[in-house]
Amino acid sequence: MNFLTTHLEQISHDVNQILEKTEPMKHPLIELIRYTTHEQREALDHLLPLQESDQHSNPDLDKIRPYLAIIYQNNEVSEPTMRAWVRAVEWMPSFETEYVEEIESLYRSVREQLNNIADLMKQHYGEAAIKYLIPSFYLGVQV
Amino acid sequence: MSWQDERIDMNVYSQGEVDRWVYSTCNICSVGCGCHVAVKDNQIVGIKGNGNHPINRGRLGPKGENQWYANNSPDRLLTPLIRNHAGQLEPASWEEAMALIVTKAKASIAKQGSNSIAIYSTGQAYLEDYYTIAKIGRAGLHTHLLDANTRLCTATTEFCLLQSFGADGTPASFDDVDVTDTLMLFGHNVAETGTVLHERIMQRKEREGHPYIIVVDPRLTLTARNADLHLQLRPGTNVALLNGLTHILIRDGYVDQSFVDQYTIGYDQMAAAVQDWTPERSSEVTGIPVDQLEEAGRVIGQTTSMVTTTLQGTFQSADATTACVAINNMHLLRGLIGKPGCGPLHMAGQPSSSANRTAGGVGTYPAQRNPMNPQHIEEMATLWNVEPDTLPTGPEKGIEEQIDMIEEGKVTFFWNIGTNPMVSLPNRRRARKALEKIFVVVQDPFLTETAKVADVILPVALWGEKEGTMENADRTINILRKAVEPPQGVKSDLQILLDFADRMELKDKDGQPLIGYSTPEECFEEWKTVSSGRPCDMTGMTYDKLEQSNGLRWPTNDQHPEGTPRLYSDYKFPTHADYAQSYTKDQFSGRPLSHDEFVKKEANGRAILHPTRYLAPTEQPNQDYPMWLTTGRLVWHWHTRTKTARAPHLQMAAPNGYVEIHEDDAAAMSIVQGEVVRIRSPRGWIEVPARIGKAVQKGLVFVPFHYGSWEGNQAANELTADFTDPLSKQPTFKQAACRIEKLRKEHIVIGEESAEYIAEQYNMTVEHLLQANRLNTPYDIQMGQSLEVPISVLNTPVPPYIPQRGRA
Repeated sequence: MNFLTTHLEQISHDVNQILEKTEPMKHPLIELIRYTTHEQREALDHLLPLQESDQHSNPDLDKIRPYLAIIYQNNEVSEPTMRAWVRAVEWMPSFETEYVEEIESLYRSVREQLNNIADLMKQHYGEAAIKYLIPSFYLGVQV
Repeated sequence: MSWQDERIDMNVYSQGEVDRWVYSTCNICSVGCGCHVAVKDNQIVGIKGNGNHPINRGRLGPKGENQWYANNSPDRLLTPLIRNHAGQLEPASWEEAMALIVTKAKASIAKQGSNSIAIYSTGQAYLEDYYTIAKIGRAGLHTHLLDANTRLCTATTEFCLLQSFGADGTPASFDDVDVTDTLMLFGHNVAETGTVLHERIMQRKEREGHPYIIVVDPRLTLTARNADLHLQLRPGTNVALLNGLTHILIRDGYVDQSFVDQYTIGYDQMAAAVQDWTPERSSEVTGIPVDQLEEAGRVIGQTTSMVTTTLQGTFQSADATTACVAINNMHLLRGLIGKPGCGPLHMAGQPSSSANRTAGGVGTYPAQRNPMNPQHIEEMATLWNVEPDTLPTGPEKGIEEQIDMIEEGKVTFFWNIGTNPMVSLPNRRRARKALEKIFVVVQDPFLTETAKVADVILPVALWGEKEGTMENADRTINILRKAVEPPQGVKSDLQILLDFADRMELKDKDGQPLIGYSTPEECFEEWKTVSSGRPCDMTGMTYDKLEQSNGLRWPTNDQHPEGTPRLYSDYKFPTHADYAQSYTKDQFSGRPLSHDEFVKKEANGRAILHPTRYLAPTEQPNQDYPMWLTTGRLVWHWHTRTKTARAPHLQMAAPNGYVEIHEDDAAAMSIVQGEVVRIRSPRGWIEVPARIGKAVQKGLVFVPFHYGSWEGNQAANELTADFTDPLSKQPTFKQAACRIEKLRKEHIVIGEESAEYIAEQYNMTVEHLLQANRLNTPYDIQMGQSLEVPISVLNTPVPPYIPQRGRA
């Protein structure tokens, strides 16, 4: 287990939950959310085994970079989509409305893990190395 | 040149001869007409068209002719205003206002970081302003949050071009419109939004019988009435239509396979995406009869030249970027690009929104540099003499995401330059609530509706009172000379920005002031260096040459000293990873692709065909809100009427908002012509008179978005939803759900009251009284009967604009 594993496992759990909860939903924004979440799922399927091979050292940044990029960039597009879906199903209630809190909570959890990973990556690799990988909004206050 | 002759449109109000005419460019729509400003006694007193300018040969639209009245409006702001502790805006000196802004900016950065500052600018300022915003924002403040109202009007143009061709810059120009055989106006009501261009098209049509005009619009607009083929689709189905048309092109063998093989990538995925979009399926979703789809497919398939223009009906609809990409796909499939009369011509919504995209005040880095490409960031760092690590990188955030961030407490300083978001943003109540919580600077010539959320207001110079350049919709850079000094106490946007940079002590890495220029022309000279070698290369331009040439289209450099009428005539596209403006995005979700993902596509100079997946509109009518709502513009007004409401002729032509309702829907609800009704959506409501007719299809209502006063209850954006396109992040103003509610009072018939008598009591006609109560004759009214009476009936005639005036 390396410094990323716990956080990635938590994201993996959250992503599975999002896919499970949204499976019966038909809203157009859910189509988008599920598309991005599936991509995150696939990226995690590549990333998690890499953590086992790098158990006692820093993960090889070049190896994990493409998959982490997919996870971060999908979160960048799916977070606002999720917020739009929350507004949509509050304006026009359906059975999906009752899942709003759960889905929001899962996204908060993903965000928290991505923030944690961003800070850890900055500590381990330095800011310059992750400049084009992790959007600056996931790092602490930038002055 | 299409125009056969010049016609100098002029609107001057002056006692005696004017003192001088000053070279300029119209500051209203994105067509970019050349003009001269009339000056007498150091005041702007009129305007006339520039007969030598190839874009308009002297013609001006109604808004263009009347734009100068705002300059002399008695309610111009002449001093900064600061909100005091009692919540009132009170006059302040420039020193006090700028000191407060700088203090707040520094405090925001110190407490919340660089990304706590957002600059939200416009599409109506000058290239020099945008470039300076880019430099201050990115190299000075290091914020990632630069956006503009161009997000509402033209962001989709940029992102569809990045997707298909690797860089911004619309391939075709107005010259191509002049010679094309087929013109498709896709969601582009050019008769009302670009009157001079419309006149140019229709004059040729009248003269030569060309082009064959296809109009795609859910409304029977003035533009649609002049079409050879009007595809009146259901709201939110642009991609369903385009997929159907592309299916026909492939099915019937209209693809230029040699062109596709040599100059594009991605055919198989693109073709697979439209395989199931038979005309029948497309018809089922769009509501367009199959025979019309087949006819459109045949025309597009057989034409030897075609220009497709797009505007807000595409950009502000569901699937905005995907629809525009589908249009690019069609041109590439048919090889109709890079040749005279050929190519997509994605328009812009404002006179210089294209310049903001090009200069990097919004979206990507200046001169079409990719914010995810380390080489491009290094180049910018060298050009600006700053450390590359200090420059923010990665994809941008749109205004709606910025509102999310304000709600979350992450953005605490919002600088609003030359735009009126409290009228123009969708779901404006939410935006207002967010902006009320933070420090807001508003830079505007007038006290607009956005003043409600302002902490500081800075009065700025208008068109005619400052110098600079603008970029129109077809890449033409035009110059605007300063005609008069701004009123006492007023500064230009550029002066304010330079003052801010100075007070913030923004430095380069050698400790020198970050901004080294002090005039617009010096700024332009620096910008030229930044543009060198990029698609928008302007190294061959000077202010004087721009005036002498009456505008030049970029690139203008040693290789193209007279500019470039159309892009990609060599079929080489800027899709090499090291040169492209973007690594592109996933066409469905909008996820930015990485460098490696882009390289794997192996575009390398070829255009990219993308699969175009249809996604239904986010909000659709249901039982509670059974009607579609769409919003848009009128020929008589510009945006939030900040300028046009101050022009007497324009204001008189269209003083009030209204709702267009189809006559069958009105009949079903017994609504009478002019009856004030309430339109309610899940966000809010407005009360406006009904204009009943056939301009909208059944089940759809249209509300112009210009009327936004807080008191008037006519603001379309009380109703609209703040959903955005996943790629361009442009809001989908064109589709929301709503219902119509009648506002009636009861009248109990007493005694011998006649229909005439009752109608007279309420200032109504007998016909309306009967219609409102579904009665056939006056004799159907009986004593004791309860009648419904509309609370108000207002006639809202909107006079037609006649562009051909002055012709024999």
